[in-house]
Amino acid sequence: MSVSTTSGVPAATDAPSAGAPAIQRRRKGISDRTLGILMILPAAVLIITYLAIPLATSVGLSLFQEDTITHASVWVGLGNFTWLAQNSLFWDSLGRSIYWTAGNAIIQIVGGVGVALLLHAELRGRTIARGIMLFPFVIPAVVAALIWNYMLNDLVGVVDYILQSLNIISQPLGAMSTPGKAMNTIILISSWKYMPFMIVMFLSRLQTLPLELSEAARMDGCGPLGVFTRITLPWLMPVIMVALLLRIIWSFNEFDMPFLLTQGGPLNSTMTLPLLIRYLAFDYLDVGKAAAVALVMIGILLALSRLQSALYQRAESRLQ
Amino acid sequence: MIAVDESKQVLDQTSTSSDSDLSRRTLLKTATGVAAGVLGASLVGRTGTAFASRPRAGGFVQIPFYTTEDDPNTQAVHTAAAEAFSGANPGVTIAFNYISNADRDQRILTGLSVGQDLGIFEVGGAYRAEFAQGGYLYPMDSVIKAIGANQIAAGSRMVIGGHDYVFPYGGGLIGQWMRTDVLQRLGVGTPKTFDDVVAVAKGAKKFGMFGIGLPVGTPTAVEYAFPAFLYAQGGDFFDPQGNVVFDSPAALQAIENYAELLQYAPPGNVNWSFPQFIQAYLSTRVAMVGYPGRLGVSVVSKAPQLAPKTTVAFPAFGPQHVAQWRWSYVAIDKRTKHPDIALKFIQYLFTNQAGFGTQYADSVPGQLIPSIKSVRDTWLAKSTSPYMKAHGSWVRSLISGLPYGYDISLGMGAMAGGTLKYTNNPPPPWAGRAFGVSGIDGEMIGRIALNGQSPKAAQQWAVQQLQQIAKDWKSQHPSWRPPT
Repeated sequence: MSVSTTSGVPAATDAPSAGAPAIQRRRKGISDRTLGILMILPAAVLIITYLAIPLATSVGLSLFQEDTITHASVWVGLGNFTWLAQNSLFWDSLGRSIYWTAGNAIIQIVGGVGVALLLHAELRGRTIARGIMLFPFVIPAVVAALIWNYMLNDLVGVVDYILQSLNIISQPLGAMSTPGKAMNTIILISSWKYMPFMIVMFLSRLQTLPLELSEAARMDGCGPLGVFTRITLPWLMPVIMVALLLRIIWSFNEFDMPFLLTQGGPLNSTMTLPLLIRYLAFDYLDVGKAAAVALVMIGILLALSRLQSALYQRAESRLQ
Repeated sequence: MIAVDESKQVLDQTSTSSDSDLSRRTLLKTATGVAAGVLGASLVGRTGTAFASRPRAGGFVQIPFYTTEDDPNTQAVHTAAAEAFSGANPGVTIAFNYISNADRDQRILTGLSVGQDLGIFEVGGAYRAEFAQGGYLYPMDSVIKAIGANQIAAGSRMVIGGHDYVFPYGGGLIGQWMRTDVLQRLGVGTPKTFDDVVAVAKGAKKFGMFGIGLPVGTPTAVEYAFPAFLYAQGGDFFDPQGNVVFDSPAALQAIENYAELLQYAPPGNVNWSFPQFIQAYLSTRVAMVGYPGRLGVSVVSKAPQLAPKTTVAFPAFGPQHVAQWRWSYVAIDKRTKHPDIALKFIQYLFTNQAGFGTQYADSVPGQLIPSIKSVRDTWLAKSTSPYMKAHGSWVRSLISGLPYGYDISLGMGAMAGGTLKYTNNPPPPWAGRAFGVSGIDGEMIGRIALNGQSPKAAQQWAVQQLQQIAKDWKSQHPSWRPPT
């Protein structure tokens, strides 16, 4: 097929005459592929700099016994991992991390759903409550830890003073100073601090719940519990799954609150894995062992993320 | 058949930009330009003490100074000294950076590791040997020589390979602060023996008070209390060759004595850090607390009603007249661009070259007792501080302990022979691991008080830990030899 031209310039679809090369028209400028690569290059550089390189460095460090101060190092291969496997400090810290993570997740999810339901209901003072509810979340962690430390101080703290004045207790609670109680105390404090985030997530989801569903359920004879379990909770479930995953990752990694509140004490009873990493790197002064713990943590979190993704997919598909 | 005009329009639309669209090339050029500008600005315009201590335009030099001494009075001395020094040395600025005591050593270590020029910095006593071992410290021989080595308090220096690497700028005895009204009501004088201390602690209970402020779980706090018990029994942690000697009967007695007094300690002592010692005494609910001079300053400023009922004495925890004396040190970053200026300022601030030595001591009397004899004598003789006029006896009582004070951060093994023999040797290079923020002695006491472990079993655990720490460190540093 030929195309007539008015300008005398051969069109792209002109059939080449015998022996003459086809005229190629190339688009000027950069291709989509190249442009795409260039656009993601800054982010890629950041990821490589702040993720890939530290990760590779950690892997390398974990194979050595290296003094944090002098950097004198001795090759030990998997010796650091063997040391961890045989050291009760690691297993105890792992157990505490699991307890800390589970405690935070359960309290914040359950509490968050409960408070979100209250804030979603047509109750008086709801608007003010929604504002006040955010207060713990906006306080810096350092300030929150200082305040709670002062309030729970066994000698001069206001909590023990009030409880003893009211004859509710005769001896100080020892909330932060008793090994058996300190972990539960810091879980509660951390939950108080971070629950508002969960509440906001759940409340946002609740506000997208079609009212007709609840009304239809009630008209069909469903009580409040039935509405909650058959309508509200399934509706919330995808967000709960996401919130749970986020909370698990954040809590498992969390250094701030345990360190600020108890520094891992009393007697290591609140030493979780992040605090163990700090202890190994800066107190025990062996950065190789610290790196080994960090890699173990990464492995655990990756496995948890995969599991959580699967659960999320299932929750979403059930909704559909 | 496709009209050329239409096909040309299609090509025009896809290959050329119209006046209102941004072409890819323009977009990339703009983005590259902005990124280059930001990067260039960050490289050219970097300021701050992190990159200080180098000549700037016009020969301007800034020396950073990292310290935890953030008491307002001390800060005032810092500022005055820095300004006077700048006046005497045009083009030089000393930039003070105040850091937290809780993470000082981690902060300093991080700075050194990433190549930050720390200029002059405070270094923890337990870590100074390892910092020197790591090659981070600039020799201070010229300052020591200028001041005169015999002027520096015995046992306070650290000499490695013939060089001084740190300067002891101030220190104090961890004295036993006591409520004189409690002593009077009990009809006893200042405790002179361990049994006297127990009697006072026990007797204070009758008045609804706690007997003695002793910490349990937090190692940093326990290291402010337990070593005095050990030295009073003639014990030590390591000998001069770096062998563990903590498995001695003297050490066991010290542990048992400490455990005995713990029953008279206030609740919540498992979470104590430095402020809680003072807080316990100021709460008026504790009869005795061990602390350096800052406690007296706090009494006068925050609980003046306690001042007439307060005294301080040399602790009597055992038959040996040895207690705990802590020195605070500064060092110079080996890589700093102007170590000569840094050395000059250290001498300027801590001696009486310009009068700041006595001012520094006056800022928190009894807490920052000068290591330099001439400065100390001048301060005691000529201080005009109201605190010194009213409570100079407290300070003198603390200073009287200078020849009898030892610490885990001082020369290794000074008490290993049963009596105090000062050296200028470094502390154990593994002291940071053994006695740092998560020290072994703190956990040892915690095992007794919180887990009900016997003192003997706790001692055995501590000995094993100390041996392992020393062994691990030596295996990483096979060329290390104990000081001769």
